[in-house]
Amino acid sequence: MRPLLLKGHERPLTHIKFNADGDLLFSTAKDTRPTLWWASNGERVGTYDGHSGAVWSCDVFWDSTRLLTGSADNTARLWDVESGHELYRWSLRAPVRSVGVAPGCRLLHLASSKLMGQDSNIYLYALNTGGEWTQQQPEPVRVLCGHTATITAVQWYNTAEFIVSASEDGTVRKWNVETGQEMECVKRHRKPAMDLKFSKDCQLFMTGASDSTAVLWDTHSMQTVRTFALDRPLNAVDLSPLLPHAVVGGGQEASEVTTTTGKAGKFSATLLHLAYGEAIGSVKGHFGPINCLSFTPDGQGFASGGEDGYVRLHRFDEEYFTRGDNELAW
Amino acid sequence: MTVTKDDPEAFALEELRCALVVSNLPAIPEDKHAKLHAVVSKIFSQLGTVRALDMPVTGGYAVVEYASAAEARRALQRTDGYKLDKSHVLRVQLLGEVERLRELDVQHPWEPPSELAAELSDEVVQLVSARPNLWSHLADPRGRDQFVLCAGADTAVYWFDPVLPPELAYERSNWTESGVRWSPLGSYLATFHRQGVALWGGGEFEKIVRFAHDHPRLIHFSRNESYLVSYNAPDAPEPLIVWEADTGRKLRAFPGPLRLPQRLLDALWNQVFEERAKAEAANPMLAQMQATETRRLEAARASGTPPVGIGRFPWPLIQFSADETLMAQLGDDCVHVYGPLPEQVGLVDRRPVPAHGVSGMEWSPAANILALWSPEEGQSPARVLLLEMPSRRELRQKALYSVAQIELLWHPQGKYLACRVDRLTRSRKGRFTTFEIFRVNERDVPVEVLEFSERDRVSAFAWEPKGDRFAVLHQEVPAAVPAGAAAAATTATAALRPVVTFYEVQRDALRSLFSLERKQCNRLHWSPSGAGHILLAGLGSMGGVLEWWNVPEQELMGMNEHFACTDIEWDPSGRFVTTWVSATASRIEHGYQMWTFYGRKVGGAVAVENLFELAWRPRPRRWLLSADEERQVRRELKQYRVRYEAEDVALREQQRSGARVARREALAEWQALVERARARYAAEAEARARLWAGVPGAREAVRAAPAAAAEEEEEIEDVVEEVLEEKEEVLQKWLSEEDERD
Repeated sequence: MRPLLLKGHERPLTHIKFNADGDLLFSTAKDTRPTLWWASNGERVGTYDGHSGAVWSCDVFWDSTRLLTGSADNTARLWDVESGHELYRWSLRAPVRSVGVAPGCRLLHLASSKLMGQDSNIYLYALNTGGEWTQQQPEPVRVLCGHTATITAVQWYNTAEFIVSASEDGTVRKWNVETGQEMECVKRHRKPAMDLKFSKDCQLFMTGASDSTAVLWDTHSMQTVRTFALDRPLNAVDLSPLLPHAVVGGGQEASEVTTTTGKAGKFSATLLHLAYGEAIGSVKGHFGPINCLSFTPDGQGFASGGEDGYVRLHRFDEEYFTRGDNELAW
Repeated sequence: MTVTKDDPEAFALEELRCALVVSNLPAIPEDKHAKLHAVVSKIFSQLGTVRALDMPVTGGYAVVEYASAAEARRALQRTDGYKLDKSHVLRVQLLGEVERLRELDVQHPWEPPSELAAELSDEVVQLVSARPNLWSHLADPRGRDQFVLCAGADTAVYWFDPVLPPELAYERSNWTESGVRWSPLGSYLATFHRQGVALWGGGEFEKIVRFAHDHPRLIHFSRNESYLVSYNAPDAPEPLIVWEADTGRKLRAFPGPLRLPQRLLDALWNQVFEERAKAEAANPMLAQMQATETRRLEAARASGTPPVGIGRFPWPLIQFSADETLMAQLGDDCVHVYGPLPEQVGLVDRRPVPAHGVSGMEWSPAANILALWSPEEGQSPARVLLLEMPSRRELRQKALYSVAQIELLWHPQGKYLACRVDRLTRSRKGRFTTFEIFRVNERDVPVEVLEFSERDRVSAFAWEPKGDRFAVLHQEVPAAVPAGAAAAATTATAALRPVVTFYEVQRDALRSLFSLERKQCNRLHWSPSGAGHILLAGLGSMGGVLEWWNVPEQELMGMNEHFACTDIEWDPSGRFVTTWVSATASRIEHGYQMWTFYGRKVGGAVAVENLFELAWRPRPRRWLLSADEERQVRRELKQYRVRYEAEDVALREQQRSGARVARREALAEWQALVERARARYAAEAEARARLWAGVPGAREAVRAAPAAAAEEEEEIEDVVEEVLEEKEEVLQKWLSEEDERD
């Protein structure tokens, strides 16, 4: 399994996102240029130039025609994927940490950082998809307030009835989209929850946190299904769309790494088996902490983005899907 | 208190305290009376000065009178319950006690106890036996050892088992304020509190005894854990207190402020100021910024108090002799030796032991021999002195020249004393090291000398705990070091690989056994088993490289590494060794790993966040079995082995099947979960359809998601069964490929 190395960013990666077909990969980094890659060969298609700060997050529309990005320059922007033109710009009073388009495409969310005297809120905007794309509403239709620390990840449930958010105070909150009310707030991490991803059917989601644990949640009951204790702080998680597997990654913070060898910081991505609650393998390669992870939509591989500025695109070996009986005795 | 015959009442009282009544002596015919008298006399005269021994011919008892009440009390403790032979266990009481009981009996004749009284006496019995069995941990059916872990505010004691994962024996949060210590024989666990030190023991770690001493910072146990010294702060009213461990009695308190010998004090302060000067040389701004602090420190130095900061504190300040009858403390040009304990805590012979310029002392671990050293002064050479105490007889003295520093390193069994002598070269610019090995048990104490040249720098020395071998870690340094290139020189030394050389003190000479060249090693850890196993470790910048050697066979038994490892400790049996990463020394990777004595992992690495202490519970130094019983065990070793191996196999099997059951249950639970999720997802199909209805450009694939997802769920179930077991393989494959690429 030789990975493709995608080198184009000059600063640490912040987010990666496959489109629905899995042929395109969007990446954002602390440099100002979100980048589009061909997932098949790792070739760079182009960049989306315009942001003037680190770009924290991106989301691609269901039909791969539009891209949404959120940046530390306090703006979120809508791009035409093919031409790279900026279509619209939303402005907040704080850096935009997370962006996303709701299923059904009538709403989108922007989440702000707790910075510059601003609370970390989730802003919901109505999306004008019917007519002119450049004509969007600058004011949010709803603001979801309540988080006491910066929101790190926001995900939409597949019926768009509620959204789930994770925050640096270690809490996970569930919000009613219709009313804007907080439905639930559960603190299961002692340190910042850094990432949150739904399973494909949205019935489960996983959070990964700096306290070195990954927790698999039942979306409706908000109960813990599995807890995985790892040996390093986690920055990123994702759930396989194909198998009951998850991939998690992270690593010692740069300031805490005493030596510079890749081994020291545990910068590998670890595959977890959700049914058994065990680690089943790990993939190393990054020489800095892993900041973002995403399975391909077909579950045949995954991509990881690191503090080292690289995106690594892995395809699983045949062995990942087949198996031998030799270890049954274990 | 002195009692004279002028005060007859007090004298009589004293007599009652000095005399013991010994009963349960065998009834014997008259002709053997003299023999029994001799036996009894022998037993009791060993324990003190017997002033009189009266044994009626046909009584089955004797009265023994000692010179002092203290001796009588000690003899009572040692002889009550003494097995004279199979059927005669001595019963010993103070005469005063017998008298009191007799009087009681006269005044209140004995009656059968009422029910209430019987109950009460039961309570009394319970009170008396309230102290738990301090050796209950030794009765573990699997013969396991314990270790204690301190991490954050949590302290936990675990049973270590080579087959099963460690089993929690006891756990408590906020048990201690600054770590814990095992006593040297493992009977107690000491904890630190604001109010003092507490000792815990028994199966449930009950509190045994407390020592009230505000904010204790350091403690030191005597070798057989009879006494304990605690220290809090130099300016406390009583900075140093000596306690009797099992009763909590304060034996002696040294009033504050703490006075250290001038030499120690100077050395400590010089260290402090040197460090500051170094820092200031590197950063000139610092001198200005710290001016007040410097003035404060100078004032503190002038007032004669030691610097604050435990790292450089010369601990233990008070050391106990091997048999625990004496304790010694370094003074100015003398050594204060107190005892004999526990009766006397004053200076032996009422005067200190004079030793001009003495700068260090160590008791032999086996005999009452005190090793002292003093540095060179003017024309007089440096000296190493062996004194037998309390007789003050000089066993050996050796003069040494051009000495910078001496370290006294006793062999753990007291057979030898090694003095590491750091000496100045003739030009007085360079340094080199010699080891002077004193054969303490031989007549006239011959000395062997082992010299390392100026270019062969010694960094560590370690005696084999049982045996005659020792290991020295040394490394060649480049000959000419340009004066200006000090920094370059240090990097050059760091790049050099050290040499480990093993030596043996043989009957006729000191022999070098063999050397291991170019080793990644900066620590030497002998196994306590006595089999000659040693763990060579390269910690810190060497990255945690570990090598297990069998020294008698000169064989590498195993090698491995534990990244970022900071500490190493053998279990008391020497069968296992723990390497661990302490939070005090490392910011990452906190946790431990167990290994066999030949370097195979026992279980996986265990991550313990904020781990700052890990210590194996020591075992008593002697077997609790009698010599006969021990021989019996040795004879039947084979049967024991068969039994234990069968037990291990059974346990492993049990564990495996347990794991299989757990996996089956996890899978069943997961399948139920997937079933529920699928139902729920299907139920929401309509909501999703509504959501996507009329979205321009929303493609068939997206709208058809429900069906597709359901299919995927099916697939999950199919594959679940299949994927379980290939994990390591995939990992291995990935790793090997990565390695190739690297």
